[in-house]
Amino acid sequence: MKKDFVPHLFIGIALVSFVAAMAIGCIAGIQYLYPSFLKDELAFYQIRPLHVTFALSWIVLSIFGGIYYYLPRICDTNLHSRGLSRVHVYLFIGTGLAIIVSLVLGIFGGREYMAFSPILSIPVLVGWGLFAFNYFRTLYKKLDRWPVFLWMWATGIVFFLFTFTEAHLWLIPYFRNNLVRDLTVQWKSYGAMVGSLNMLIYGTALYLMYSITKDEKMAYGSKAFALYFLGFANLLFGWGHHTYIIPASPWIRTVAYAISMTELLILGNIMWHWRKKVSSSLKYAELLPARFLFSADLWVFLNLAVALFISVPALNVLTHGTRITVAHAMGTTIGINSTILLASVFYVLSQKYSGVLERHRLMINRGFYLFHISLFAFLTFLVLSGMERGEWLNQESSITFRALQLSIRPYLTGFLISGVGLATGALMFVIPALKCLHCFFTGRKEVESDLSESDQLYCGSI
Amino acid sequence: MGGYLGPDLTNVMSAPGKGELYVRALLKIGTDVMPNYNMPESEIAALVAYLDYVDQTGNFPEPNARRTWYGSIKIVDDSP
Repeated sequence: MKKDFVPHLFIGIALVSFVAAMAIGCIAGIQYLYPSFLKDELAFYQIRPLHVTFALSWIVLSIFGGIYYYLPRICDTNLHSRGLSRVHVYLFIGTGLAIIVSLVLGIFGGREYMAFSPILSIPVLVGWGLFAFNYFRTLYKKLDRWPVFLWMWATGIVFFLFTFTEAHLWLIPYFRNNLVRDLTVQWKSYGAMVGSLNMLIYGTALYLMYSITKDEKMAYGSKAFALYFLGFANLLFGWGHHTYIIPASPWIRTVAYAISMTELLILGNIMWHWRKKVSSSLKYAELLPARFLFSADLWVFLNLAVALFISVPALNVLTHGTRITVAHAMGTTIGINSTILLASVFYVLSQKYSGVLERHRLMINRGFYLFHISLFAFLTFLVLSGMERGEWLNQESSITFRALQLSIRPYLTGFLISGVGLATGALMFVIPALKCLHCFFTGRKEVESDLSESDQLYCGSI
Repeated sequence: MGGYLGPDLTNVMSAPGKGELYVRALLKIGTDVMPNYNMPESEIAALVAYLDYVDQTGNFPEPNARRTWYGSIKIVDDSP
């Protein structure tokens, strides 16, 4: 078995999930405009959990791929058990397929964001457990001083295990039979789970920034550790603004919101200063991950602006339950988290396949710009339709829901078109990435017979 | 407050022109947006009972709700 087989396989299925999430998102966009589209074959109640599952899979699998690749290099050793990492990846592929089939067949049983049967959560938990064991055993007694990204990953792994378990407490009647307790635990666990994933993603961003510029401040600097501690506080307390439907003192939400926003501000600040240290002499493939990190930085500030806008209570009452909140969630998931993880994917691939990436430079560049311009339009249309709905929710007149849907149709059309642009742009840089993976899995000899002459040249030059 | 594809159902059981028969008909036939889920009678009855329970919890929109300048919602008692 090839070295780095597991990280590359994780990255491969992560990219497939990324494309699938966007393709299904486009179908959902069509259903907003034409509700009868695939209504009986793949209705919205199936489309939504499928979209969420693929989007979450993209995030989690690309995190695994990155950490499995980086960890042995950071510790200058082999992974504790490559066998266990193989069990992990195959377990996740099998479970993922089972989840997709069950959702397509309309077999549910779970709750929002994890709508699949809770039985399938068991292999997910086991997979995370194997990952945690391998991570800590690899690190054991290897380093005297941990860089900040190792702390962030360690914290993210431990708390994901905790919050994922907590998110299933509703299976116990003691929690399920009390509405307020049930809602509190459910949304608390989801909010803290997002905090755990952010730990893993921001840790990845710091590792990439450290690796690209060799700037020690990214690994051991006080600002980097401030981000870690703030992220940790966010993980512990930031769920307060996810539990808006639970009776609670307003200060709890305000404090939670302030922690979240400060975390983003510090991340944006670190990235902003790091930009100046990126050498202009880097080759295209080496610069590609840095470009994704630059764009993540811009999305950090844009999302902060939206978040501050909707956090003003007098405006929040108009925006809550509208697509403005969705715009904020999509802006962070796609604009910040996905671009950081794309930076990680291209960093791994550029280590061996810079030739393939260089060969597709024009296509990747066009895809990169199309992706970001479309994302801006996508979020703008979400905000505009959200404003219309916010006004409708708060007015005295009795315009029907159907009339509202008709009035926001132009925005939904823009939303669909920009969504298709987003997916097309992503495909333009995902295809070259998949070609790199094809080179990895097939090896040079197979590549020569399968790929075009120009691709052979680049795969063969590895 | 309703979803993104469907209307608010808080008071569908007591709204003028709607009620149990209306809900049962929609669940059995579906709409141009919502498919017919082919639910058995037991599931339809459970959903009707749930919507009945939700209807008892309050009104949406709440006629006595007033928005303050700060953005919070205040329930005003207009009764004499």
